Amino acid sequence: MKVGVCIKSTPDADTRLKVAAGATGIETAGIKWVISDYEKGALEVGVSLKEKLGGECVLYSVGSGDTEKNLRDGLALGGDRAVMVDDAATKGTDALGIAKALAAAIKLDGLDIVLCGRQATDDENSQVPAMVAELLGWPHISFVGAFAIDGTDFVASRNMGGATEKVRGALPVVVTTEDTIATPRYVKLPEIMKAKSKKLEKKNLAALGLSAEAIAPAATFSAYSPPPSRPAGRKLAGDAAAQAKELVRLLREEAKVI
Amino acid sequence: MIAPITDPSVIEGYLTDASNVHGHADGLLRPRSTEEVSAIVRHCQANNLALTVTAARTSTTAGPVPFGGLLLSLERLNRIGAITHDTATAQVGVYLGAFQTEIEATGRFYPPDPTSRNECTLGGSVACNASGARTFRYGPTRPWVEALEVVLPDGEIRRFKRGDPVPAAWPVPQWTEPNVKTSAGYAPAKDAVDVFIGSEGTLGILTEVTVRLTDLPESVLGVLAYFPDRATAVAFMRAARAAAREDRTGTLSPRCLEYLDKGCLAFAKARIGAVPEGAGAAMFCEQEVMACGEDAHMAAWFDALTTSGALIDETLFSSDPSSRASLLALRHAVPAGVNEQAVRNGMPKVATDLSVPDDALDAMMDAYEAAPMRNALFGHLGDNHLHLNLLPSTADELATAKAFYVELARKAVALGGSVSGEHGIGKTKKNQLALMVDAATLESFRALKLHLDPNGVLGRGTMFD
Repeated sequence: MKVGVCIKSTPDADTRLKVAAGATGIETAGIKWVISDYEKGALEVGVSLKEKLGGECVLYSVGSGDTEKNLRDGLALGGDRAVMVDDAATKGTDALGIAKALAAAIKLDGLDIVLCGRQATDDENSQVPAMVAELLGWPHISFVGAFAIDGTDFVASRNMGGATEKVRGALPVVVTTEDTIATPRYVKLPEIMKAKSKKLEKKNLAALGLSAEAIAPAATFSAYSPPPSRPAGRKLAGDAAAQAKELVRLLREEAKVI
Repeated sequence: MIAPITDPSVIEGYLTDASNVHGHADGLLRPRSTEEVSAIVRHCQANNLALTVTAARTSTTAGPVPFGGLLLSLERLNRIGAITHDTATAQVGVYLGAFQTEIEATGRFYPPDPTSRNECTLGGSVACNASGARTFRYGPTRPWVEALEVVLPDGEIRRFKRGDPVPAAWPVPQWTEPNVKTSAGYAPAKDAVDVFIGSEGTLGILTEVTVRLTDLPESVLGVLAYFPDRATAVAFMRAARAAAREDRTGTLSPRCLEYLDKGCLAFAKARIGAVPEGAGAAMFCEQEVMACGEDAHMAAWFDALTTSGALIDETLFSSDPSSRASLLALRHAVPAGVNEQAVRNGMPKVATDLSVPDDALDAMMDAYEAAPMRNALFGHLGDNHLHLNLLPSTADELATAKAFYVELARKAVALGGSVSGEHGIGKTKKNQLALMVDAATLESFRALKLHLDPNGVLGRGTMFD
């Protein structure tokens, strides 16, 4: 069984994000980039499948700098090797550009399954996995809370907000996982040491048969803005009856909650 | 003066702390300003009314538990003031963790980290000179306090900053504290600020604190290492401590070295089931990433752990805040499990707070191992400061546990240690303070108290009978 896991580097959940000067993005100084939480679950599923069925678990990511560190972390968590699409042209591309790069890298490896988190924890875009599936010509099963292999088929349980849908189909397949699908294992120090010598291939677009033009964004971000700051509390005046009356009025006319 | 709240149902929530001692009070006051605090103090002095200060009641020694008189809660003095590159100022009712979060958002760092930092207040942490895991690297609260606003027992509002001399008339105790981590008795203060740190609300009421800041570490590594037994864990601690003392910025320069014994691992296993077979002890450690970089740290930790005999294949590692939090969850499963067991037993736990010098650690740990009932030993191994949690299940066992604690305190004192590494004396450990300091020193504490508070209005029953 050859399993691929796509990994996105996102800011650690403890990060306080700030909009960068000029509103062109977020301020990246001081951010600790980690494996997106949803993809930690996907990685655990991928590694477990490989451990159970044999074969190989390959990690894929697009980026540079911290992306390499996070791929190494993924290798410490049980990945066998990693492919990093490292090309300046990928910076500033959109979801389709990322999907094209990933799909091209995956095609070269001939996988049976590709696992991704259901969304990234930073932009919550959710588009890339479906695009990868389309580009590969494979089915895409989304919001998967449980996943298993049964002979030559896969069996997936999709969370549908209170109901569960069971899906069975033939491999290959692209699966996007819920964060509850598996509890990520703890990283062990010896595995970190071993991960340093595992194979991590860096490939540019040309090596994947792509060009900068091929992944040029169809849409670009025009501006970033922080959420509006919380308004100061308001103190009501008068006796209890007057305050209650005013409170009801505000809840009805301003907050519109009653 | 503002009117006290006398509704028993409101007061009830303020009458105990983590010691489980339950008190009583005639009224509760929740002032909104230092001036209101001053008026309350003057009123109490004029009427010889006992006044007990309460913060967030995470104390384990009943210091904030009143036995009559009025109770003063500082929860409404909760504004954070200026945060500059060098210092940060806040009123005492601010939660310590919230204060630290605001400071860290500016890229600066205030290190003291009592386990209760998200539940305790800044003022409470200064009043008991709180410590925590990071004390191993950064020391306790005391050296980080730069200035204080204090309402003295006569109602006068004073501001003291570091270096301000102790007023000449104040008879500050001159004694030699044990050369260990300690928070027992009044400090032999070198300046006016020192007088109030660790005075447990008996010498004045803190209303505002300015603390010193340092650089926020760019990154922190977390390590949870398992060992076959106590001896290998202690051997590793000694190696890591020696390395940290030799080079504070070296590849092996931990900021905390926390210990969990086999009793703790049983609790952790019952709650989360993630303890490897063959583990007889564990250590949770943190390493701030220095200029040498993460890889150099990892190599040094790997070597030191392997050399000391750790179960290296089971050693867990984290390099980001989220995964470090998941390691901490393993560690925090222990006190949670201990507290649950105490509830199941229907008896309070008896938890020690003794610290000893480096060369007395083995003798003290031998003494802990002679505990006559189920127990869990954890805490700040790097500071030779462990908390033995005795878990009695009957009234007789509770009496045995308390007597055993006194035996342990005698042992710690005989070994050159302190009866309180971080929790203070409060109302529950006055007998132990008397084991540690001689009569003349105790009398010098009393002399300072009576000089500032002749009627013994503040914190009646805390530190002295």
